[in-house]
Amino acid sequence: MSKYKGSARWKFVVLFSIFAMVVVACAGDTADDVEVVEEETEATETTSTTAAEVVEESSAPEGVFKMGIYSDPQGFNIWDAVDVQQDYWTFATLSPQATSLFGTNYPSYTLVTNMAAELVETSVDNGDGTFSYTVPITEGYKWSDGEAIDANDMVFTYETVRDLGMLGGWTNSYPLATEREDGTVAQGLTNIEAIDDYTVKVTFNFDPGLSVWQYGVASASFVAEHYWSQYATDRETLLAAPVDGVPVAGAFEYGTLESGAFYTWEYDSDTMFFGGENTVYANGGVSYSNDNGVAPAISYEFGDLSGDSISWTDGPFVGTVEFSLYGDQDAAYLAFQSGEVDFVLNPLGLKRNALEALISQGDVEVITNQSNGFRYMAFNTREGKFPTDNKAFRQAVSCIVDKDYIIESILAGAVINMDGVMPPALTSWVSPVQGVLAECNSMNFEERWNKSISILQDAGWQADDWGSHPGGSERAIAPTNLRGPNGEAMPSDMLLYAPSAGYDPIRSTFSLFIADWMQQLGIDAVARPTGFSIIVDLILDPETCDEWFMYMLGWGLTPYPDHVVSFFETDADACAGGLNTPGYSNPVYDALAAEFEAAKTVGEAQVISKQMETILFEDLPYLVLFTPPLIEAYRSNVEFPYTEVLGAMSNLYGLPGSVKVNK
Amino acid sequence: MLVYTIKRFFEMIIVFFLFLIISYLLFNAIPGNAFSSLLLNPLLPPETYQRTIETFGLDKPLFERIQLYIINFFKGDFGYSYIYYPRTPIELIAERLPRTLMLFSIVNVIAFYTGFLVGKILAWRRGSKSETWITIGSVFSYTVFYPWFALMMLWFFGYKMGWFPLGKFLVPEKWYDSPYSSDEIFYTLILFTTVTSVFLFLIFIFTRNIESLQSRRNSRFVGLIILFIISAIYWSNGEASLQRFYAADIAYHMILPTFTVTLVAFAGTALLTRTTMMEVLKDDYILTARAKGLSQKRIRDRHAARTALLPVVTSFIFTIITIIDGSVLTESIFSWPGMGQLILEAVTREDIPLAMASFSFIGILALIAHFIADISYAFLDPRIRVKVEN
Repeated sequence: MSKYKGSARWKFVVLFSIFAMVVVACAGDTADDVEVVEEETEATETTSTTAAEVVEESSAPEGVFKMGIYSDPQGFNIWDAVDVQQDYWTFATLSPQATSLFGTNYPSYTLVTNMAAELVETSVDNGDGTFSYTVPITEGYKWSDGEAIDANDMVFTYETVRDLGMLGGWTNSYPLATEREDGTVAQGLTNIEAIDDYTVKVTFNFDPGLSVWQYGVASASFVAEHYWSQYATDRETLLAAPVDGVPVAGAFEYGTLESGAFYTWEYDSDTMFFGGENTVYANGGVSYSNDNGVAPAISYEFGDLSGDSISWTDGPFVGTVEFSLYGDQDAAYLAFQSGEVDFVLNPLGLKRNALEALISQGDVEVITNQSNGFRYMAFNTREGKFPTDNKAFRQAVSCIVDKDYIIESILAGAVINMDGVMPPALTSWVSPVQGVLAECNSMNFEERWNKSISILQDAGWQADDWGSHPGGSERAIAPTNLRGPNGEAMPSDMLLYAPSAGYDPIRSTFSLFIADWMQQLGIDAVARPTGFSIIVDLILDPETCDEWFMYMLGWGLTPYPDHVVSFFETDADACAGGLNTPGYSNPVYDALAAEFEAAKTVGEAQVISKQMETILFEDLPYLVLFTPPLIEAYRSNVEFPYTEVLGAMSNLYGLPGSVKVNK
Repeated sequence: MLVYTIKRFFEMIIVFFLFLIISYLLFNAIPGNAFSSLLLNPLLPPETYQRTIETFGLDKPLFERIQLYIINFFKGDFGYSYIYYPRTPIELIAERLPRTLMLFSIVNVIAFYTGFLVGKILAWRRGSKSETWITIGSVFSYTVFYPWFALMMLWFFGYKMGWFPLGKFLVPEKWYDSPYSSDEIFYTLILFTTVTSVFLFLIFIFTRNIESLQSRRNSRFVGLIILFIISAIYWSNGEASLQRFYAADIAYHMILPTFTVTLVAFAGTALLTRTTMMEVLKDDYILTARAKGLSQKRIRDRHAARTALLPVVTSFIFTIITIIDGSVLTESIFSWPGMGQLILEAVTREDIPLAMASFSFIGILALIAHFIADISYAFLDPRIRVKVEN
């Protein structure tokens, strides 16, 4: 036995010795290999750069800004991203492969110039039913490969969208004047042409307003013709085109794209996109100047330059931006806690329970912003869809819903109450709450119930017994045999669809309370938490778009708040393929919507928008419920130029061009 | 034997058709109608819309749709992935499969070997305190709620102790300037692991008939050293010498998921081996072996364990299936971007072409595994062979 043990020990020693030798040998070799790689890299750079460039390289930013992501981007080609993908994670990791004439400044959401030399907001009537904008492009801007950014790039992009039948975001950016089935021509773009290399002329078959011109075509992405033209043979070739060496109009280019693991952007040492000086004012004004010696020297001021201001200088201040992919949100935040990443891109915001765990770690900063969107309950207002087509019914239900009670007492202030369809942070756009909602907002439950009953009674609704409220927080004795103004019987089991608790516990909770309050009004409403996609299918499918009474969902909004048109305009009815899911139709509202779309300035649009919202407060196709606050956390060594912005830092994709990462 | 094999093969084909039909019906029954909901997407290009309709025959009756799906399946046409458009499901599976194969084939081999070893010892030491405690431990492993256990392992060894990375299969910084993609490294690793495994197996086969226990062990030890030296030479020369830095990174990231899954997976094999071997130990030929004066180790390893191996090997073959579908949880928790995550993403985001291609792939694997198990069972157990032939 002892012999056997001794033998084993001897073998172990031999095995270990060999293992140790191999490890030592390998370790030595590894170091050599790494050095070789570095030498090769340096040699390549030295031979391919001039002395002047070497000086610039020495001032190139260093360091890595590491962001965690928890869903895989679906592609890296801008044509694909804007066309069919339109996925948050794809846009977050997309290099700046396109630029535009105009842009939106953040955090002010103010319209500013980008490649355009001036903010052209007035069209010229050509006298033949067409209207043109002629926009000068600033000379001197170049793509990362040194080719000039000029009018031909925009013309190429427009022609590619038109000729290859690009879809998705491209059709929104370049709304073509296509011929309809009935032979009429839709309002839209008829041509984009280059007057010369630095002047572009954009022609429409109507006089467009803000949403189509300033926030539409003028803000549309255009790409480098000299690169993409080789792939613009057919749509699939273009969507599948490689992005190695794709020219960018920004400071970062793609570095490593390791599918399913991580993606990097690397600082382009020849970039001209750096060093802008920004000041943003409390009243929405913006001033910007850039004289970095490489890019064209520019300076502009837009909006109201009064009130408090914040200023910062654009970076980049990091040499690499890393997007590290994790299996889910929890894994991403665990990595954040351990210091693997500086910031987690999270468009939905941090869960509260996760927040506590993060705060306890220290070295973590927390920011809370409002999301640019809202959650709502919709009524099917289509004619004949009794009772939700009845305005008094919608007002009565809206009155009895005590959102503050649910938010404060049940949800412990987890969300922010909203009444109108404009995010409260867009102060210049928000109309004060009016009508029934304004009246009921300050009422207790008994008063709400009484008010709701009186609304129904005043509108001619009938009941065998109108019931009563015992006072306080007691349940009301519901009316019996409630009927419409013309004696219409109430349907039984009126379903209120809402996302299930697993998907969104807040909306699920709201649906249960609202159904209960409706029952106290004598309405046989039943909350039906269900799958998100089931609700979406139900309300958007032309075959089922009318087969519901009430549902709850949410919207995320664009920087230009033209949703007052697309959500409620008669022409945008979901049954006809639009986004007006309630099937709301009001000629007065439609007339205002047309005015809104034709508005030439933001101020003009804001006035009309408020008038439209006043009508919505009266008609209530939506009962707007709340907006969720977006909580985010970042490591203390990270310095953002600002942290207060509508829609949170994640919606600005972590500001990689301006962020500083201190060692 | 040939007749039996042919018969099982045809049975497999029938089962496969049934599998295709049932999986199609299940996807067709998803609430919200996943097929048509894809077509509601206003961003869907018209040609894809048309192609989707044609591929799945959505404008046709159910029977014809199933027929079309089966025909397209055999043509290898799954259409385009909706979430990774314009990539095809086959391209995506080809990208993700090596990552899963690498992790889970190693896990399965280690889990099987450990489980068999532990089960053998448990049966041999029946009634001892160590048997009681190891059995309790194995039952715990077998029944533990895996997602919780895996998260605890990740939290403790990854976050609290900091010994292992918190998921993923690489450290990004090390790969910034890598001349290789991770897939290339995975292919190298798979090749290396396969060759090493074959070599190990050959060592085992060629030394198993050496009578003397001491000589057998010495021979295996020498074989192991040779393998070790060959491996070291391989990783020190040529392309592999440049790849080993990256291969080591992946190998390091594999430790925690491998350890975690092995802890859970070995228990099934251990308990099965224990039960089977306890039955075998009651057989007369074991008594005869003892009466012949053979050593306890020899009786255990060469007489009892070999017979007990039969159902365990069969069970191991079945685990081939779990390499793919069992990876969903592990890959999500450890952020390992393989087939499991792909399937999960396809299902949750209703990428039907991708989901169906993935499930079909799993189905094929499952059937092949069952087929191999049946054949090997007949091959290893003469009683089954004789019964079939009669």
